[in-house]
Amino acid sequence: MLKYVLQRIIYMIITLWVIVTATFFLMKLLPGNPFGDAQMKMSPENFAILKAQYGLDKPEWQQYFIYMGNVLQGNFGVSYQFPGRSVVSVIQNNFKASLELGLESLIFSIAIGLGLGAYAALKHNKVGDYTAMFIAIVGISIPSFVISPLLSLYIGVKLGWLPAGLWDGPLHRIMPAFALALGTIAILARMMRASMLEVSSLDYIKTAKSKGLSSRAIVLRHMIRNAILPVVTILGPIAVNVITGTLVVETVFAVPGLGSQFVTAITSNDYTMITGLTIFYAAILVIVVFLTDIAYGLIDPRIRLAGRR
Amino acid sequence: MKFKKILSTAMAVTLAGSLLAACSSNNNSNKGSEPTGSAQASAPASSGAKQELVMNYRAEPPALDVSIAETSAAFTVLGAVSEGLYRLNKDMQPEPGLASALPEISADGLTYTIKLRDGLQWSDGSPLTAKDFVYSFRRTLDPATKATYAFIVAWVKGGEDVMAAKSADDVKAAQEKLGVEAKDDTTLVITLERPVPFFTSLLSFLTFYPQKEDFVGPLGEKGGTDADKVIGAGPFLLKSWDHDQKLVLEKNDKYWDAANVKLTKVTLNIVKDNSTGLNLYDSGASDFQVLSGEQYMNLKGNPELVLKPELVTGYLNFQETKVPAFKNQKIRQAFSMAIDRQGLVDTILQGSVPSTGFVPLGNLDGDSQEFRAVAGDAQVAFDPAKAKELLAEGLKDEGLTQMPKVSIMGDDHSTGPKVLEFLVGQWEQNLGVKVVASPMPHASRVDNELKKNYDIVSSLWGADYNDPMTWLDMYLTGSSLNTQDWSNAKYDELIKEAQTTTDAKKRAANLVEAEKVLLEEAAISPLYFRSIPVMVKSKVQDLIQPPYGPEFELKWTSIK
Repeated sequence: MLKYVLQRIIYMIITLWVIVTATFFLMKLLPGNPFGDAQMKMSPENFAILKAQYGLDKPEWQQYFIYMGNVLQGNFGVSYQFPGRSVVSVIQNNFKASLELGLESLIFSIAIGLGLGAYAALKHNKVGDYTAMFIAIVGISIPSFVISPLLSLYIGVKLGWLPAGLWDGPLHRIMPAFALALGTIAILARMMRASMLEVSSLDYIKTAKSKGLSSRAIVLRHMIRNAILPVVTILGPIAVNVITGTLVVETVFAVPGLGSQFVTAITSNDYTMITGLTIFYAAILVIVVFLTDIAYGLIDPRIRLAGRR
Repeated sequence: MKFKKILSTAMAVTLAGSLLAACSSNNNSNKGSEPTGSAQASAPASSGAKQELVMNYRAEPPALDVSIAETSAAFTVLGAVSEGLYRLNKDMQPEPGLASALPEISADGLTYTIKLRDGLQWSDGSPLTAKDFVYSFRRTLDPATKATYAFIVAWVKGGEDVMAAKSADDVKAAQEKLGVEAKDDTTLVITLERPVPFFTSLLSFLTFYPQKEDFVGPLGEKGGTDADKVIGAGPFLLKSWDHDQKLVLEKNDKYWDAANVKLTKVTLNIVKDNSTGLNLYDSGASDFQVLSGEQYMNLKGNPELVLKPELVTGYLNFQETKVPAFKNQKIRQAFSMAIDRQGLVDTILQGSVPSTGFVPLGNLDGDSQEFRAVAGDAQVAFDPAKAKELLAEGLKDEGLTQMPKVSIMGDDHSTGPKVLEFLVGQWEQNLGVKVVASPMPHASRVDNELKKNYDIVSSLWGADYNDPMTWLDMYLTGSSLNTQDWSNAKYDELIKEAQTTTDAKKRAANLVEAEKVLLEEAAISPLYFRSIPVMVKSKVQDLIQPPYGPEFELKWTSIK
């Protein structure tokens, strides 16, 4: 097990290194420079002085080694768009909102998705089932860039029930979290339904029924508890998806998150931000995939990790 | 049946959770969390009208550092938090700010002697003296500060030497020689390299604000990155700054003119998306929102809609080396003459004005007149028949049977691609010439433009300072912004003379004449003067929206 973990960690580092290197050189192919229109205002001589101050006059391979050297020392550099603010501090500041939004939407997804799935399974092939699954299909078919502006306009402006945007108090969280949750609700509902149906035909449910247990007790104690297991295993990757996929919702509801930072970093050639954010997002994904693999091994004895023959 | 109960219990728990959350929110949240039009409803009810303003702002300001700031977001916020020697009023005329009166200018126009007000204070209560200006100018010019707007301060005598200094010692030596001196605590003397007739008004620009050495110095590169790292001497204080979320300004009681500042609090919410911004505005959560072109179309006629003219001109450049045909004046004129500018504005750029020259409406001429009022309509007029004739003549002169294949490059966002399509249509229809549209990301467009890698480019220029020179000196022969390689001896002479003369009348006349040359030869083809549509709640009074520099001026604003 230990050997396996070490091996995976080495792979993770190699993966990250490849990603950073590729991003670094691809990013340098972007036309333009981090100074944007300021370049037009300056004389070519003054512009050369400015570039030299940032070390951008050196050949790219040299810039690469300098950057990697800094990264190894934990220094991700200073943003070009926001002079004086380190990439790490921008990530710290903006990731808070993305993480919070992601987790809140996850709570919505789990509560509604599992509820809907369980309900559909219990009403198998009846109106309730079709209704629940129809809701799920609608949820997954409407992308967040359609539902978010509609929510903001109708619930925020026309009805005035919730704030149309911004990130001030708890009320401001509801609509963005719900908009983000919609797709996940559908996935979880369908999984939960399938899982419940599978469990409901198993012998121990029949045994429980023949023992004369109330159907309420059967569902709560036996069916849901067993059916939920496979759903739990995909929560890790889903959580990452939700947390890293907040861009559209953040834009529509003016949430100060990290998603839009990535986009503006790229459009304004903010080199340090682009590589810093790439490392950050890549690290999250790689680590979660790793943890999920480990968790599988622990939860499900049928999955054997290498080296445990 | 019982499962319904479970489900409803689950729902109830979720709802209760959000309700609890909602209750606790009422303790610490402001009116932003009560979206039900509370801003509209409450303001008229309490007749004393709270002097508080909530605005949507489209971008997070980069560092609020006087030396480094280069975006209008930073100009806007720092303009509220601090002040220069002068402040522009609603007519864009300089009024004494930290200075007690307009400067005494020497006869040769080079030396400015300025008296500061007595008893000036920074917002922390420490005294503000002439030395703070000296420090500020020196710091901005130091190459290590990496200030992109340093070129403006470099007009002060010896400025270029500081910028070009190689070692720290050289920088220090050059800074000592810089033409800015604190004679005593309240007397500042600035010496210029050559006369700059609009320098008094330029002194109101952010880059000439004072900086407090023992505050800014220790912060180093961290200066201006958080609310506690910003200091000023202006009408407001930066109370808090949640990055990417909001900035809160409060009235600064130590400001010399605090008695005339009416607003007690201004909240700037960072809202990057226009539709979101308009939703917030409509729901009453904001008093100010900038509109997109489409939103403007839908809201035309709304009494809260304001059109803000800017000192920004959209225009075309013709690259004469890459496309030798464009060396021919008649061909350039034909291309310019074949464009129906009114049509362009009516169909795509609603709110903007068809250009009547290169220097936009509202731009002063350096002799306290409006440039366009003096220069009049200098544009080659729309005339398809004449354009066709000119093209035929031009091609004959060049020994060509038909116009070579050319493309037009422009931005690929907002109205950029539509403008290209319109122009391509006009040339096909009115000249019978097929031009290929090639929209691309803004950064690529600028990059290609500066590398002279284009046939025709659709570009935009905004004034850095309110003088025709910011427009006209870029077409001097060999200027890095003269990307089309156009050259005209008479033009060069007129501009160079204007740069050195101390006679404001002669200078202004030269500049008018120079623009005439530029446009008669159709060296460039201006298209429109840009305006930005803005929604402002009618209760907001005296919110000045200057055409360049900061986006709004809050000092004199009040709530009715």
